[in-house]
Amino acid sequence: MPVLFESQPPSGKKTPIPKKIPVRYNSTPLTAFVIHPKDIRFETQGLDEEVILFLRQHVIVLLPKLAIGIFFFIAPLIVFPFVLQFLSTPIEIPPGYVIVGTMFWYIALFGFVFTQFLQWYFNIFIVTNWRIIDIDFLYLLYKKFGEAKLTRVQDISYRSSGIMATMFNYGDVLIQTAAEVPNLIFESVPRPNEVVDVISDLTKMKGRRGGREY
Amino acid sequence: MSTDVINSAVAVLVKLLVLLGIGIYIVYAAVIVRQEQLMTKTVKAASYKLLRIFALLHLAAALLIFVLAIILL
Repeated sequence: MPVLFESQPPSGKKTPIPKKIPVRYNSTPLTAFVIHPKDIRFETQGLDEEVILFLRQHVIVLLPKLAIGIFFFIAPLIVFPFVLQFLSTPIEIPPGYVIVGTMFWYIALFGFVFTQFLQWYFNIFIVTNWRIIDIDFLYLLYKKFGEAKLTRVQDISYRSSGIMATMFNYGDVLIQTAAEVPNLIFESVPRPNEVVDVISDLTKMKGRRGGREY
Repeated sequence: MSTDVINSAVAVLVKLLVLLGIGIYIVYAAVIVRQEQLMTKTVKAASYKLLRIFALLHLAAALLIFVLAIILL
Protein backbone atom coordinates (compact mmCIF):
# COMPACT_ATOMS: atom_id res chain seq x y z
CA MET A 1 0.00 0.00 0.00
CA PRO A 2 1.47 3.40 -0.92
CA VAL A 3 2.36 5.76 1.91
CA LEU A 4 -0.10 8.61 1.82
CA PHE A 5 1.17 10.56 4.82
CA GLU A 6 4.42 10.36 6.72
CA SER A 7 4.99 12.45 9.83
CA GLN A 8 7.97 14.80 9.64
CA PRO A 9 10.81 14.38 12.15
CA PRO A 10 11.14 17.25 14.66
CA SER A 11 12.97 20.14 13.02
CA GLY A 12 14.65 21.35 16.26
CA LYS A 13 12.54 24.47 16.37
CA LYS A 14 10.96 25.48 19.69
CA THR A 15 7.35 24.53 20.13
CA PRO A 16 5.26 27.72 20.11
CA ILE A 17 3.80 28.55 23.49
CA PRO A 18 0.05 28.06 23.54
CA LYS A 19 -1.86 31.30 23.86
CA LYS A 20 -3.62 30.19 27.02
CA ILE A 21 -0.35 30.04 28.98
CA PRO A 22 0.95 33.61 29.03
CA VAL A 23 4.65 34.35 29.04
CA ARG A 24 5.56 36.07 32.28
CA TYR A 25 8.12 38.84 32.42
CA ASN A 26 10.21 40.35 35.16
CA SER A 27 10.10 44.07 35.80
CA THR A 28 13.03 46.39 36.40
CA PRO A 29 12.96 49.71 38.33
CA LEU A 30 12.54 51.51 34.99
CA THR A 31 9.87 49.22 33.53
CA ALA A 32 6.94 51.22 32.17
CA PHE A 33 5.08 48.58 30.16
CA VAL A 34 4.90 44.91 30.94
CA ILE A 35 2.35 42.28 29.98
CA HIS A 36 1.82 39.46 32.50
CA PRO A 37 4.42 40.62 35.01
CA LYS A 38 5.94 37.86 37.08
CA ASP A 39 6.99 39.80 40.14
CA ILE A 40 4.31 42.45 40.74
CA ARG A 41 1.57 42.18 43.34
CA PHE A 42 -0.69 44.82 44.85
CA GLU A 43 -2.34 45.22 48.22
CA THR A 44 -5.97 44.45 47.33
CA GLN A 45 -5.21 41.70 44.83
CA GLY A 46 -7.65 38.79 45.03
CA LEU A 47 -6.55 35.16 45.12
CA ASP A 48 -7.79 34.45 41.59
CA GLU A 49 -6.91 37.88 40.30
CA GLU A 50 -4.10 38.07 37.81
CA VAL A 51 -2.14 41.14 36.75
CA ILE A 52 -2.35 41.27 32.96
CA LEU A 53 -0.90 44.67 32.24
CA PHE A 54 1.35 46.84 34.38
CA LEU A 55 2.00 50.40 33.30
CA ARG A 56 3.81 53.51 34.39
CA GLN A 57 4.34 56.77 32.56
CA HIS A 58 6.97 56.58 29.83
CA VAL A 59 10.50 56.98 31.21
CA ILE A 60 10.99 59.97 28.95
CA VAL A 61 8.76 62.08 31.26
CA LEU A 62 11.60 61.91 33.79
CA LEU A 63 13.94 63.70 31.39
CA PRO A 64 13.06 67.34 32.36
CA LYS A 65 13.45 66.48 36.06
CA LEU A 66 16.76 64.81 35.33
CA ALA A 67 17.90 67.93 33.44
CA ILE A 68 17.00 70.10 36.47
CA GLY A 69 18.96 67.68 38.65
CA ILE A 70 22.01 67.91 36.39
CA PHE A 71 21.83 71.71 36.39
CA PHE A 72 21.70 71.87 40.19
CA PHE A 73 24.50 69.30 40.39
CA ILE A 74 26.92 71.42 38.40
CA ALA A 75 25.67 74.76 39.82
CA PRO A 76 27.98 74.85 42.90
CA LEU A 77 30.96 73.93 40.72
CA ILE A 78 30.46 76.33 37.82
CA VAL A 79 27.63 78.82 38.44
CA PHE A 80 28.29 79.80 42.08
CA PRO A 81 31.99 80.75 41.73
CA PHE A 82 31.06 82.74 38.63
CA VAL A 83 28.29 84.64 40.49
CA LEU A 84 30.41 85.21 43.62
CA GLN A 85 33.20 86.67 41.45
CA PHE A 86 30.80 89.33 40.18
CA LEU A 87 29.23 90.04 43.57
CA SER A 88 32.60 90.48 45.35
CA THR A 89 31.04 90.65 48.85
CA PRO A 90 33.25 91.74 51.77
CA ILE A 91 31.81 89.01 54.05
CA GLU A 92 33.98 85.93 54.22
CA ILE A 93 32.09 82.66 54.60
CA PRO A 94 33.68 80.43 57.28
CA PRO A 95 34.99 77.08 55.93
CA GLY A 96 32.62 75.12 58.21
CA TYR A 97 29.62 76.69 56.51
CA VAL A 98 31.09 76.00 53.07
CA ILE A 99 31.59 72.29 53.91
CA VAL A 100 28.18 71.83 55.58
CA GLY A 101 26.46 73.96 52.92
CA THR A 102 27.96 71.99 50.02
CA MET A 103 27.14 68.64 51.59
CA PHE A 104 23.60 69.74 52.40
CA TRP A 105 23.14 71.02 48.85
CA TYR A 106 23.96 67.62 47.35
CA ILE A 107 21.88 65.70 49.90
CA ALA A 108 18.90 67.98 49.22
CA LEU A 109 19.48 67.54 45.48
CA PHE A 110 19.48 63.78 45.91
CA GLY A 111 16.27 64.14 47.95
CA PHE A 112 14.65 66.13 45.15
CA VAL A 113 15.63 63.69 42.42
CA PHE A 114 14.67 60.70 44.56
CA THR A 115 11.24 62.17 45.37
CA GLN A 116 10.62 62.87 41.68
CA PHE A 117 11.60 59.30 40.88
CA LEU A 118 9.29 57.93 43.61
CA GLN A 119 6.41 59.98 42.22
CA TRP A 120 7.01 58.43 38.81
CA TYR A 121 7.68 54.95 40.19
CA PHE A 122 4.47 54.77 42.25
CA ASN A 123 2.23 56.38 39.65
CA ILE A 124 0.93 53.04 38.47
CA PHE A 125 -1.77 51.64 36.22
CA ILE A 126 -2.73 47.99 36.54
CA VAL A 127 -5.08 45.95 34.43
CA THR A 128 -6.11 42.62 35.93
CA ASN A 129 -8.51 39.97 34.70
CA TRP A 130 -11.23 41.68 36.79
CA ARG A 131 -10.56 45.38 37.00
CA ILE A 132 -8.53 48.43 36.04
CA ILE A 133 -6.59 50.16 38.81
CA ASP A 134 -5.06 53.62 38.85
CA ILE A 135 -2.70 54.42 41.73
CA ASP A 136 -1.48 58.00 41.89
CA PHE A 137 1.29 59.27 44.11
CA LEU A 138 1.09 62.94 43.24
CA TYR A 139 2.89 64.59 46.12
CA LEU A 140 4.79 63.06 48.96
CA LEU A 141 1.73 62.98 51.20
CA TYR A 142 -1.01 62.46 48.63
CA LYS A 143 -2.05 59.03 47.43
CA LYS A 144 -5.07 58.23 45.25
CA PHE A 145 -6.45 54.79 44.48
CA GLY A 146 -9.08 54.47 41.76
CA GLU A 147 -10.52 51.32 40.25
CA ALA A 148 -13.16 50.24 37.77
CA LYS A 149 -14.44 46.75 37.05
CA LEU A 150 -13.89 45.59 33.48
CA THR A 151 -17.63 44.94 33.18
CA ARG A 152 -18.25 48.65 33.86
CA VAL A 153 -16.00 49.92 31.08
CA GLN A 154 -18.09 51.80 28.56
CA ASP A 155 -15.64 53.41 26.21
CA ILE A 156 -11.91 53.40 25.70
CA SER A 157 -9.73 55.60 23.55
CA TYR A 158 -6.25 57.08 23.40
CA ARG A 159 -4.60 60.29 22.34
CA SER A 160 -1.01 60.91 21.44
CA SER A 161 0.16 64.40 20.58
CA GLY A 162 3.45 66.20 20.29
CA ILE A 163 6.87 65.45 18.87
CA MET A 164 8.12 63.51 21.89
CA ALA A 165 4.95 61.41 22.15
CA THR A 166 5.15 60.52 18.45
CA MET A 167 8.87 59.75 18.57
CA PHE A 168 8.72 57.61 21.70
CA ASN A 169 5.24 56.17 21.11
CA TYR A 170 3.44 57.19 24.27
CA GLY A 171 0.11 58.84 25.00
CA ASP A 172 -2.93 59.10 27.26
CA VAL A 173 -5.43 56.27 27.48
CA LEU A 174 -8.93 57.45 28.41
CA ILE A 175 -11.36 54.98 29.92
CA GLN A 176 -14.98 55.91 30.52
CA THR A 177 -16.74 53.76 33.06
CA ALA A 178 -20.12 53.39 34.72
CA ALA A 179 -18.36 53.00 38.07
CA GLU A 180 -17.98 55.52 40.91
CA VAL A 181 -14.85 56.79 39.21
CA PRO A 182 -16.35 58.00 35.92
CA ASN A 183 -13.10 58.40 34.04
CA LEU A 184 -9.73 56.81 34.37
CA ILE A 185 -6.84 58.41 32.54
CA PHE A 186 -3.58 56.57 32.06
CA GLU A 187 -1.28 59.50 31.36
CA SER A 188 1.75 59.27 29.07
CA VAL A 189 1.83 55.49 29.00
CA PRO A 190 3.96 53.68 26.42
CA ARG A 191 2.29 51.93 23.47
CA PRO A 192 -1.22 53.34 24.10
CA ASN A 193 -2.66 51.47 21.09
CA GLU A 194 -1.64 48.13 22.60
CA VAL A 195 -3.09 49.15 25.97
CA VAL A 196 -6.42 49.94 24.30
CA ASP A 197 -6.30 46.59 22.45
CA VAL A 198 -5.64 44.62 25.64
CA ILE A 199 -8.38 46.35 27.62
CA SER A 200 -10.86 46.08 24.74
CA ASP A 201 -10.19 42.35 24.40
CA LEU A 202 -10.60 41.83 28.14
CA THR A 203 -13.81 43.85 28.21
CA LYS A 204 -15.25 41.85 25.28
CA MET A 205 -14.24 38.60 26.96
CA LYS A 206 -15.94 39.68 30.19
CA GLY A 207 -19.03 40.70 28.25
CA ARG A 208 -19.25 37.28 26.57
CA ARG A 209 -18.82 35.43 29.87
CA GLY A 210 -21.41 37.50 31.61
CA GLY A 211 -18.73 39.14 33.75
CA ARG A 212 -19.05 38.17 37.36
CA GLU A 213 -18.51 41.04 39.76
CA TYR A 214 -15.34 40.80 41.75
CA MET B 1 27.61 96.29 74.11
CA SER B 2 30.81 95.44 72.29
CA THR B 3 30.97 94.37 68.67
CA ASP B 4 32.41 90.96 69.64
CA VAL B 5 29.31 90.12 71.71
CA ILE B 6 27.02 91.11 68.82
CA ASN B 7 29.13 89.07 66.38
CA SER B 8 29.06 85.97 68.57
CA ALA B 9 25.31 86.35 69.16
CA VAL B 10 24.73 86.57 65.40
CA ALA B 11 26.99 83.53 64.87
CA VAL B 12 24.98 81.49 67.41
CA LEU B 13 21.71 82.62 65.84
CA VAL B 14 22.91 81.66 62.35
CA LYS B 15 24.11 78.28 63.65
CA LEU B 16 20.72 77.66 65.30
CA LEU B 17 18.89 78.59 62.11
CA VAL B 18 21.09 76.25 60.06
CA LEU B 19 20.49 73.42 62.56
CA LEU B 20 16.75 74.13 62.45
CA GLY B 21 16.79 73.96 58.64
CA ILE B 22 18.67 70.65 58.66
CA GLY B 23 16.30 69.38 61.39
CA ILE B 24 13.29 70.14 59.17
CA TYR B 25 15.05 68.35 56.32
CA ILE B 26 15.54 65.27 58.57
CA VAL B 27 11.76 65.19 59.13
CA TYR B 28 11.28 65.39 55.33
CA ALA B 29 13.76 62.51 54.83
CA ALA B 30 11.90 60.45 57.46
CA VAL B 31 8.59 61.14 55.65
CA ILE B 32 10.16 59.85 52.41
CA VAL B 33 11.18 56.62 54.18
CA ARG B 34 7.69 56.15 55.65
CA GLN B 35 5.94 56.99 52.39
CA GLU B 36 8.18 54.57 50.51
CA GLN B 37 7.23 51.84 53.00
CA LEU B 38 3.51 52.57 52.60
CA MET B 39 3.66 52.67 48.82
CA THR B 40 5.66 49.44 48.68
CA LYS B 41 2.90 47.88 50.75
CA THR B 42 0.36 49.07 48.17
CA VAL B 43 2.29 47.77 45.17
CA LYS B 44 5.09 45.30 45.59
CA ALA B 45 7.56 45.03 42.74
CA ALA B 46 10.90 43.22 42.82
CA SER B 47 12.92 46.43 42.90
CA TYR B 48 11.45 47.79 46.16
CA LYS B 49 14.52 46.85 48.22
CA LEU B 50 16.70 49.18 46.17
CA LEU B 51 14.30 52.07 46.83
CA ARG B 52 14.29 51.33 50.55
CA ILE B 53 18.09 51.35 50.63
CA PHE B 54 18.16 54.75 48.86
CA ALA B 55 15.52 56.20 51.21
CA LEU B 56 17.38 55.00 54.30
CA LEU B 57 20.73 56.21 52.97
CA HIS B 58 19.18 59.63 52.35
CA LEU B 59 17.88 59.77 55.93
CA ALA B 60 21.26 58.64 57.29
CA ALA B 61 23.04 61.33 55.25
CA ALA B 62 20.66 64.00 56.60
CA LEU B 63 21.36 62.87 60.18
CA LEU B 64 25.10 62.85 59.48
CA ILE B 65 25.03 66.40 58.16
CA PHE B 66 23.15 67.50 61.30
CA VAL B 67 25.89 66.03 63.53
CA LEU B 68 28.56 67.54 61.27
CA ALA B 69 26.88 70.95 61.52
CA ILE B 70 26.93 70.77 65.34
CA ILE B 71 30.65 69.94 65.28
CA LEU B 72 31.85 72.28 62.50
CA LEU B 73 29.70 75.38 62.91
